[in-house]
Amino acid sequence: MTHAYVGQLLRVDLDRRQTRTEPLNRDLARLFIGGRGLATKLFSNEVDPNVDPLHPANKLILAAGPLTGTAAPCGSRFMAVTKGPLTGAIASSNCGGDFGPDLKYAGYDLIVFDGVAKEPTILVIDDGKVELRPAADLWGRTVDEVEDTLHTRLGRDFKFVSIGPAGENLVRYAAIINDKSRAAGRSGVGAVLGSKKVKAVAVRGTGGLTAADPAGFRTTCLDVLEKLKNGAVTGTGLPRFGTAILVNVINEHGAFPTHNFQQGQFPGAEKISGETIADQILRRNRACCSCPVACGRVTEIKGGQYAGRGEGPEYETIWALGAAVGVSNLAAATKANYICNQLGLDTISAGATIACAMELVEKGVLTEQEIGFPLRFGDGEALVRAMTQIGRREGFGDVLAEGGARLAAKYGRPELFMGVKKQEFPAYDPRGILGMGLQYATSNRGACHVRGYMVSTEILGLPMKMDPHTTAGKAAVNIAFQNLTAAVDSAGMCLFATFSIGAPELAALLKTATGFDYDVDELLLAGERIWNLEKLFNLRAGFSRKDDTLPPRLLHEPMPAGPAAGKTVPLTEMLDEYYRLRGWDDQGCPTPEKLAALHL
Amino acid sequence: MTIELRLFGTLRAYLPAGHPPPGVQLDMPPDASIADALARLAIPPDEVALTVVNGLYERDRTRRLSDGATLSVWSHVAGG
Repeated sequence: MTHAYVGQLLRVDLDRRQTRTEPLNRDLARLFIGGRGLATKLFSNEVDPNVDPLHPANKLILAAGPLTGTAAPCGSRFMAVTKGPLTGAIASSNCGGDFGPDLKYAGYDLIVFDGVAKEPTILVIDDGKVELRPAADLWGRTVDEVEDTLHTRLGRDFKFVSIGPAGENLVRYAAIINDKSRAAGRSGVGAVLGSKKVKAVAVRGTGGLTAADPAGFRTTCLDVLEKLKNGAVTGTGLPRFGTAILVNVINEHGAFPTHNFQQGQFPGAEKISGETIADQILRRNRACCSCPVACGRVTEIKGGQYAGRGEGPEYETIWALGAAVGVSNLAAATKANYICNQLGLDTISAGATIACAMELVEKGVLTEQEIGFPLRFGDGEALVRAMTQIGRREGFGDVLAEGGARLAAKYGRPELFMGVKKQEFPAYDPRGILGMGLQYATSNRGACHVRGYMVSTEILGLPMKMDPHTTAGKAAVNIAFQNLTAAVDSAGMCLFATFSIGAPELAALLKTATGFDYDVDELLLAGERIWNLEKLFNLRAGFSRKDDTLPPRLLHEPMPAGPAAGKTVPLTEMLDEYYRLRGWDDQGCPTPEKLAALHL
Repeated sequence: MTIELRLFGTLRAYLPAGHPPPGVQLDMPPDASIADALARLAIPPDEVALTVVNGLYERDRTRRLSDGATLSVWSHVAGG
């Protein structure tokens, strides 16, 4: 295995402060591709599904894919795979930036962390030379401070992932941050790294990667590059307005969750839209390694109480820190985003948890005396204050740090938690986009939009237009999206590339890069295998059909107004069809025949 | 009849000069279609990828609009 992969992984035994290199298993790489797939295979082989996610026996794997760091356009991604402290389910959080490519240039496809260090520690990988260093002086520091300090200490050409105070404080939705603002955000992967007392990983590498078929790989890369540049979405829409262009799209369709999913349209949408961000606070675009799209937003709030510079907000973020909490003050929402980046918080779960708290206040269940300050929908100042408290587990932030599910249960109103498997929803109300309801319910890592992005077909018409208000055909398309996404994530590609390319191009990239004879069928079969593997882990961890559901609000309370007025999510009929098409029994368990067909 | 035409993304360039986003009220004849409304602001049809009437997708641009309708249009966009 000498092409595209480095061919080796690094094991980090934090209990013994030892590291060792291990060859990558070629057969497993073929079956599970790399990244999310291969890491999940290793993880599920080695970790008890019933482990406490914050126990030393839980492992955390940082995993690049075979295309990560190659010349493949948008091939920059890596994954953090573990058991999630927020959900108790398999967690795999995707991240771009520069870390993934440099991990491979430094000599490794994956890093497997096991155990817990006795003191705060950083892992330094400098062109194959591996060292665990004490880092007590970095503990308590923000992500910005850590990266700046390590750049000075180690050199400008190092790349990092790190956790902020949120990860140290075991906030259940703490993120792992790369390049100061790129987040492996969801499910609390940062808390797992914090529980192991790993503050940061620094990598520097000068190694190269080869392709099995250099001429074929080059031709395929040029073809993909052309499609990305000429594609209307990847060539114009995303570079010009970023992902937040969706604010008005989803709001106009009446599926923009507002005030903790009590409404589907936000009157202040225009003030926080991608167009307004581009007009008012955008300084420049930012691209991940090898990305021709550059959807990242480097922004600045000039003057006032929210003054600052940073990156974001993206679409999901401006929803969570905007409509979800009723805040139409772009400066306040952006400031809250910057705080999330610096403290290492998942913006989606953070904003959505605060939204849940605001509804508890609105309903008189939670008092301002308990919180320590007014926390009402629309209050940007309270949003910023709460966010800082969460990251440091100060005051009522200690309660909010547990996430919306535990918050709502603590106050006797579990039905007011808006999420699945204890993970908060992202920015789409499925009463207006029914296929997203099925996607949320079946996502292996809890409520998630990037496991099978049904918005693409139901709203955007990519690759074909489906009616968002009907259920016909949704199960089959959702399964196809989930399988393809698993393959994309495992390859190390950015999901956004699929707005302009599809499975044939991805298979061609993988085939010419790795030398494995992938075609579209094998690629999608690998994606299905990965999805089923994740499902098996969750079943062994105690999840069942009852967890593949939605909050009562979305199942039984009709959308009150707007284009989706009167709609609820008819989940049962979609779920039954989904299980059947997956080859699972009526309780959502893969059948022996299905597992055999997938070589599981 | 009067309709509201809302322009998003790159199509904002076709808003009348100085007009605040997102939309403009248009007085249209009673049988006006989606295409007629787009033509009123000289929006090239091939720049429009997503057409939504009162929050519902509409593929057929010959469809007649009703009084008070909100027509929202985008070029190719995506995110997530």
